[in-house]
Amino acid sequence: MISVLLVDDDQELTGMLGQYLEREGFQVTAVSTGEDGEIQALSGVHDIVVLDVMLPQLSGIEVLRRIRAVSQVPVLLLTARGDNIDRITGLELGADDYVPKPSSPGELVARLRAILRRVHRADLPATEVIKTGQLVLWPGKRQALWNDVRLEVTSTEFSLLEELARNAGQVVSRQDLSLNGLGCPLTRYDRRIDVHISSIRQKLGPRLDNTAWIQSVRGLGYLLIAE
Amino acid sequence: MIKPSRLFSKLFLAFWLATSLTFFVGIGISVLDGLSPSDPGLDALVKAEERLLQQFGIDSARQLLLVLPPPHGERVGVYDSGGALLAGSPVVHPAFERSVVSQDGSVLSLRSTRAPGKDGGNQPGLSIPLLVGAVMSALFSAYMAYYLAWPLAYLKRAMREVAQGRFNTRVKPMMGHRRDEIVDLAADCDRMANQLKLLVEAQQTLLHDISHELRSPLTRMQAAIGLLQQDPARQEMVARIERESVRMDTLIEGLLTLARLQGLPETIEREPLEIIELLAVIVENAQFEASIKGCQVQLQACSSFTRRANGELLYRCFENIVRNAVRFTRPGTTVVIAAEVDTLASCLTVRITDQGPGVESQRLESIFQPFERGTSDASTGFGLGLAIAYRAVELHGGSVEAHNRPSGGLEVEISLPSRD
Repeated sequence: MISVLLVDDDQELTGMLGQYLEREGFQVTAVSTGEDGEIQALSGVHDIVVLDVMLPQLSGIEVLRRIRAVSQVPVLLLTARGDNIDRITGLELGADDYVPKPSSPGELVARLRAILRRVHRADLPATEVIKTGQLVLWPGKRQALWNDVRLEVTSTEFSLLEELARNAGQVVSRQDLSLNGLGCPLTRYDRRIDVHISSIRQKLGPRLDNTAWIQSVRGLGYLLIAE
Repeated sequence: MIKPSRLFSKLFLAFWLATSLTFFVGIGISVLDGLSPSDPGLDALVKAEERLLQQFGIDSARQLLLVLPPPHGERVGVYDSGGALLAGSPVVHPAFERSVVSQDGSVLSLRSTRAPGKDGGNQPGLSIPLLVGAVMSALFSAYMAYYLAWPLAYLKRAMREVAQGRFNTRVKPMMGHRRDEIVDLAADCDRMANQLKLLVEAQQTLLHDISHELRSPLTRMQAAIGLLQQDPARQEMVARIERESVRMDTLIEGLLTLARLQGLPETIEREPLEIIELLAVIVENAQFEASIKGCQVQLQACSSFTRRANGELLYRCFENIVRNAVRFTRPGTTVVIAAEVDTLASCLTVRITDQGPGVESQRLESIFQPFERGTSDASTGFGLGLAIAYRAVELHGGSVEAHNRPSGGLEVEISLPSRD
């Protein structure tokens, strides 16, 4: 069973969300402080973390920063509706996705499943390998090598990179990236793809001529240079 | 850096006109004085010489020049037609020469180094002071006008910045070491900008808190609706949704009350009110709620205390504090409300004490701010009750303080004077 960690100071809410998620087939652990959230998230027991940004004392953003310093466990942020700064900061720090508050629990489950689908690709044989240039990807194991060095990417970043690598040298539209990488259609003013891509770019570093390995093609999408 | 302002031009013109006029009038008077022979000695001497020569001859003229020598630096001499000096001192470059028929009939020549009556030497002396005076007065006026106008130019710029919402603008440091009313004005402007900044920040924090507080019950409602959709048999979720909607209603009402309390004290209606009676009603109502927890609410009040007050606001105020105490006191304990009248200071002191966990000492003041919570439990209360109570007492001229009791629990002390 998939284990979900809920980190939110509103215990009434986590109680109800817990019941909802359990009925949807998840196993739920709920904690109400950032400190407990960090400890639990790094325990390795949970498959995915649902993290509220507005936590008293230690904020959700800080918890995320601490988690990402050592772990690539998938993190779904609960952000205040309309607060774009938290949202972008969260994605930049390596959150896999976010759900605005208030949202229906159904929406939360859909986003959780989308992330988990990307992580647990049971349909893929563990031996499948994608190679392009200096990049080697094992989608089944969610592992990546860049220049023969292990590449630390979040699961969302991995999915986007995989989508780009499968079509290396070709432009992949932002819509396709959103559908196949994030698991949901692109909405207006959605900056998630761009934030994730920018994060991957940083991890790949620049090419010899100082340009990026992932090129953005205005109005079309992104392209991974194959060489 | 700052272009000359209208004020500068006006002040400059006014100062310049004033100083120049004074100066010109002064010059004018001295010029009028100078119209009388500027060197009466020389003039008179030359005239006297002429007359003496005509009437008494060269000897008298010589004697006069011996007795009355010309003023220092000047020379007067009498020559005969052949050019020989007969009397006085030799005049090499005569500025004045006149032929005089002497008493004995000979034609003599009277020479002087300066023409009498025509004060040529003074002419350049008058135009130079005029020029210097005009320039000096212009410089002085420009300095005065600049001295007064430039701080105002800075002030103007600073006020424009503030009006555009840049409340970090500070103008006093630009005033240097001046000490005058303009600097005081600048300091006041800085204070105003700072006050505005604090107000806007408080407003934004409040707005942020309100949206968060409204969002929490909404999110819980969404969760309850989700559970209900998942399993329509869970009818208890309907009650939960109702509870959340009541919470939101309470929150909005609290916000409206707080907004009303932000107004001026004059806008609050007042009527004579027996405060002890009011407390008794609140205690009675709180008793019911407390009994669920196995707690008691006790009123220890003596005499009566009547003052003009707004009953609704004071009721809410005491009710909020008492309910707070009932909520946090441990089960089975007693909440004590002690009312004491200080006849000397004509002031009522109400102490509401619970036997709960108390409040961290650094938050004893901030619990009276909107949305500051006593505990981290997000589901209880809205953090507006104490803010409303505080403001209500303030509007009645009183004060509220919170202390932790040495024996544990929180004590809220309300002082209410008998008149505002």
